[in-house]
Amino acid sequence: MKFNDAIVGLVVALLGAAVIAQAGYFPKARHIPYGPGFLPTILGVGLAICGVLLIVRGISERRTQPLLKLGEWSRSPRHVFGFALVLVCLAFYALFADDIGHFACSVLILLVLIGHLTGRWLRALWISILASIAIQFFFVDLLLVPLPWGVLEPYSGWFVWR
Amino acid sequence: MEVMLQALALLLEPYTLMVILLASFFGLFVGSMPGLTATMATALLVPVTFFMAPVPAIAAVVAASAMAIFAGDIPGALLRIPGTPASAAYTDEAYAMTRKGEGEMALGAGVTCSVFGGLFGAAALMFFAPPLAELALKFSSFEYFWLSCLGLACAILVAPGSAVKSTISLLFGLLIACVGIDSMTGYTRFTFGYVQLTGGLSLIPVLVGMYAVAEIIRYAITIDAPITIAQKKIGNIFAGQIPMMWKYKVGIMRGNVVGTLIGALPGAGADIAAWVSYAMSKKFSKEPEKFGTGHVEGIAEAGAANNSALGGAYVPATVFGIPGDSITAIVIGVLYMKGMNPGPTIFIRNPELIYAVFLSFILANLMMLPLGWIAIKSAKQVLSVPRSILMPIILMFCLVGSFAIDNTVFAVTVMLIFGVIGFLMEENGIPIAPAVLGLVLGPLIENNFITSMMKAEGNFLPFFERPIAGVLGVVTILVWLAPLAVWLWRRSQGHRAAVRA
Repeated sequence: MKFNDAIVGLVVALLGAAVIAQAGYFPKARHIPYGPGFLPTILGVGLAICGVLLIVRGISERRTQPLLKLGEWSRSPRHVFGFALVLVCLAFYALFADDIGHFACSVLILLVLIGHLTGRWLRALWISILASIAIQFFFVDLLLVPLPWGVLEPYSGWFVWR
Repeated sequence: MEVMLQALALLLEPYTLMVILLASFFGLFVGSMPGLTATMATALLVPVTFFMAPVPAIAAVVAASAMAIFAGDIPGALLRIPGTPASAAYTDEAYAMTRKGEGEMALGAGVTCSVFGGLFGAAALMFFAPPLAELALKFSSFEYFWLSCLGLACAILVAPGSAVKSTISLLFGLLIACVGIDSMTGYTRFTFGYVQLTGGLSLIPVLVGMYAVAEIIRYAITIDAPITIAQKKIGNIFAGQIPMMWKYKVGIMRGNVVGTLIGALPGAGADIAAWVSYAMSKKFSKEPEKFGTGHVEGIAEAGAANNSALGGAYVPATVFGIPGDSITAIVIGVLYMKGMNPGPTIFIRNPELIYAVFLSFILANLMMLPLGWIAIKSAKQVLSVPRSILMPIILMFCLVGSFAIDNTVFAVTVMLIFGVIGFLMEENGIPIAPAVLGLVLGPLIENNFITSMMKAEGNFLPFFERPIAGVLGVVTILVWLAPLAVWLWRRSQGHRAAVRA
């Protein structure tokens, strides 16, 4: 997923500009001219300069560098789907782990990912259940990480083997 | 001496030894799986070390990273795929040896030279860190400011590829370090209303995202060929190692020294050490024509260099709190969590703890001989673990590990975002290491700058008035200006050539 340097530069330059603008709102320190906005402003200026340099380079190389060069994988629907699946699984966990709980999320995510990658869904199912139990045991029972229980909250006693 | 004995007693506790042994197997496994790096092994270990006493926690990281760097040689020699980027420099050479039927020699050189390099790095660490700490006690905010700036300069100088892109990476790292409450004024910056960001971005979810999640995304889009192991049966890997090491003793020693020095430079770690050493080995070799055809000399020198770099990286990390590579960037986070704040005072307040960490290097490297043998013998089994099952499980480990740092699902969101950013950065040739360095050094630079400015009442001159600060300041400015000078010089040379033509 290689973008032309001009596009990368544009994103970086815009980030720099946004940082400078935001840092302008930060209060000034009382006794010295270096307040909370000082370092961010320098960084913003640096990012903007580097961004512009990349834009120049990208434009000068536009004949050899396409705007966006996707890898071999972009022609294989299975790989495009796999790429999206990893991101969706992570987003799913971030959004729903508190509500449906870690364990259910873990089984689901592992099932979907292993199933997709291996194509053998029945094997994926038992591996995902076993791996989830192992992770649960290791992190919750041994290391005492308070992973969210979610819907399993009323039954959490069954799963804690300490 | 008494401190050493105390340190040894801490290290030889059965619990610590067990942790080191388990961490070693973990490191060997991660290192020998292509696509999983030593940094990733370290990042995945952090949530586990969270629940340990300081010495076993750091010793676990030391053991796992040392083993992972060595184990990266195994798939290099057998599959022509480096297990970690630190083995990439000599993967083709090692594979060529295996094809010639000298796989035992290539793998054995990997073990013995790694052990030797690792021990050298550890010795350098024990020899140089305490006197440097002694010197660092005299440092004030001025010196720390310049030292951190020097670290940033190094990160750009040593990064491979475009300097502009390395600079972007560094600035980005410094920028994300600004998120949260500014410790000098108490003003909250760039939190966008998220209370969870008030304390700043936690290092671990960011690192796990950039190093591990980005790698898993990359795996998901890799169209990989089926794995074929070049040599099924592996004989005695230790046969002929001593004569080989004696023959190339000068090269191996050079690899040790270069590796330790590169490791100590902020931003450069084992992978760059291996590339530089391999190139040096070829340049100084009596038979450079043999390089690339399956010749052990370069493997020995670079294999020693990448393991000695690990020890070297701990010198600035423990003495100044400035990471020498991405692994020590994580280690610094662990040290803070354990209340062993890096800096010269650690050598006064808890000398036994820091010496125990140093001794753990020696122990881990000695253990590498038998464990490395086991790892090589079981390489066929390990390499046949399907990555299509392993990668999702590692993703789950990343999720749980990030969660465990703050006990919030918010950390998972942070990890996801930085995973995507890390993936896009690498795809577009922007290296990740400078960003990590910026993230760790950001608060150090800003706080020391503002503190110094307050002391100096807004005056710039005191930044150069103290002797050490003055020298560091001048060196830093020279290092910052060096690329510009080189560019101007090249331009004038090119101009002259054009005029002559």
